Order: sequence, then C-alpha cells, then structure tokens
Amino acid sequence: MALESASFINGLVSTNPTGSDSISQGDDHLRLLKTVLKASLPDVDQAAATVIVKATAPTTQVKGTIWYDTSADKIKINTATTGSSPNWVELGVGAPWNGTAFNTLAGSCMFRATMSSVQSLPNAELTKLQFDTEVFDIGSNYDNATNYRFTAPVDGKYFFNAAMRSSSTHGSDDDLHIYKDGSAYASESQFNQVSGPEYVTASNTMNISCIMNMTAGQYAEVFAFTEVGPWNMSNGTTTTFFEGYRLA
Amino acid sequence: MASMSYQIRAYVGRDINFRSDVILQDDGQGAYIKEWNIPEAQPTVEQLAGYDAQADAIVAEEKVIADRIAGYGGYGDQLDMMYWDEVNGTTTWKDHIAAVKAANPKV
Repeated sequence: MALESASFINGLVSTNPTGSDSISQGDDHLRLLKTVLKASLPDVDQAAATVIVKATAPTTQVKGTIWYDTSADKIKINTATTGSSPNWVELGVGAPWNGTAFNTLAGSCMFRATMSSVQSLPNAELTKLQFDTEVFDIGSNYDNATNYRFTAPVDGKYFFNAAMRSSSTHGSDDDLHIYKDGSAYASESQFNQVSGPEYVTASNTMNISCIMNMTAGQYAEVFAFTEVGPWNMSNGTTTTFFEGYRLA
Repeated sequence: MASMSYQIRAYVGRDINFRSDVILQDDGQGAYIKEWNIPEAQPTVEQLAGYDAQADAIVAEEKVIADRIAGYGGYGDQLDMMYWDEVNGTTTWKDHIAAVKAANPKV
C-alpha cells in the first residue's frame, strides 16, 4: 500500500514498495518511476554526458562528457564525436579553485596595496615603500608583511602602477621607481626649484606605470628617493598605492 | 645620529650626487651603500660613524639655509617691499632680511 507521491528523483522512497504490498500495485510504482525520471532528466534525448571525477581518463565515448582530472585539478571535456576515441580538451587551463593553476590565466592574479601608516623618506636614500595593506590580492602573490613585493607566479607580461604623495611640504627633487629583481625598471623624476618658496612644492603626487616581462619567481617592488629629506609621505589610500596584474 | 648621506658628505668633504656618485638603498633593514662611483675609498659603516659630528653640522647648516629661505618670503613679496621702499624712502625690505638673518644665525 506504500506508494509515495514524488515529482523528482529525490522524492522517491527507496523502501517502497514494502514486501507485504500487493503485486497488483506494481504498475503504479513503474509509472511513478517513469514520471519522475522524465521530469528529472527532461533534455536527455541521446546517450547522456556525465561528470566523471577521478585521476585517470575515463573510457566514455560520449561527446560532452566532463572529466575532473583529480591528478591535476583540471576540468576537461570530451569533444570527440560520440562513439569515437575521446579527445579531452582542458577548459581554460586550470580549475579556479587551484591557486597555482588559476594564476596561469591572464588577469587572474592581481593586487592593490596601500599603506596603513605614514612612511618617512630619508635624505638621499633609495627606500623601499612598505605597502602593508592589501585591498585585494587575487592569487596571493603580493607580500604585504615582509618584503612588500609582488612575485610573478608564472612567465608573462605584467602591468604595474604606483603612486606616492607627500604629506609634508618640501622642495626637493624626488624619484619614484618600480624595481624588477632589485634594480630600477621604470622611473619618474620630479625636479623642484628650491631657491624660492614660490617653487617649493607642497604635497606633490608622483605616479609611475610600466609593463614588465617576468619569469616565474621574479619580483616587483617600489622604491622612492628624495634629494632633501626626511619628509613624510601620505598614507592616503587614493594617493599612495601599488597595484598590478598579469596581462598575458 | 645623522643619516648615511650626511655622513658620506662629511667623509668626502664635498657635495655628492646621490643619484650617480654614490647610491644608497634601504630595503627595509636600514640603509647601505649600493654603488660607490667616486675616487675616494669606500668607507665602512664603522668609519662613517666616526663622521657623525661633522654630519650633524652639515644638517644644522642646511637647516639654517632652509629656515632663512622660508623666512625671506616669496619673490613677489620681496619685490613689493623694495618698490615701496623706493617710493617712500624706507628700508622695510633691508630690515626684514636682516631680521631673518639675525633670527637664523649660521652655525
């Protein structure tokens, strides 16, 4: 007598029919199974492609079968005609939940960092700017605690942009650099007349951008120089920052 | 203690171009000499520490100059003072400059 009411597969009761039910009720169960199957799988008009999760390539010959290759954390799809030998094509390159693989996608690693406190720029010393606050760091390639640098996860072309604003009035000549592996790669210099207050700059902003060809493991940092210091740079989040991302 | 750039100026006894002659860098652990491109022998940190008093004197001299420049005021204001001194036969500008010099004596 136990005949459930179900619209989809999850509504079926696996213990029905019970052993004591009459045989004449069997056709009711068969109709229920057909109804639930058709409602749950409405578009299946051919051999169904499936999602297979394992470390070795499945032997399926159905076009469109998706294989999550657990040995490489990659998603692959069979593009061969059904019945032919499978042709597994990677979707993109990696699965987005795999950090290293995700970084291989252009635009998938990017960061922006600001300063939590004012940094003083000493007299005539190239000084690394300590951007210690991450606004975002997709891919976790920016070090905001120790070396204040972005390290390339894979070979590629990367774009960087840095800005620095002074919080104290000064009239010195200043430089702003983006460094690659410890040497200046892109530089901006600002020369100020120091012999008269008319030319003394107050709270100037400097900005430098570049595209850098990097191999995995190379790093980018920001350095600044002032000819007459010390003076304090602003830690305003819209005026003093370091950001970058992978172009290709 | 004066910064390393002033110690080096005291050590060589002249002005230095810190973009080309000597390049100092601080990676976050304190300044060091990255490049030394002048004839004088490159000093050690300990040697430079011995020039700290002279370096402090340079800092003090530069502060006097900076304070005087700030005290003199803008060129426009000074020219205005000179003009009215000419018109009125006064010494406002000369007195002003003398007062700034007196307030910021050279060390």
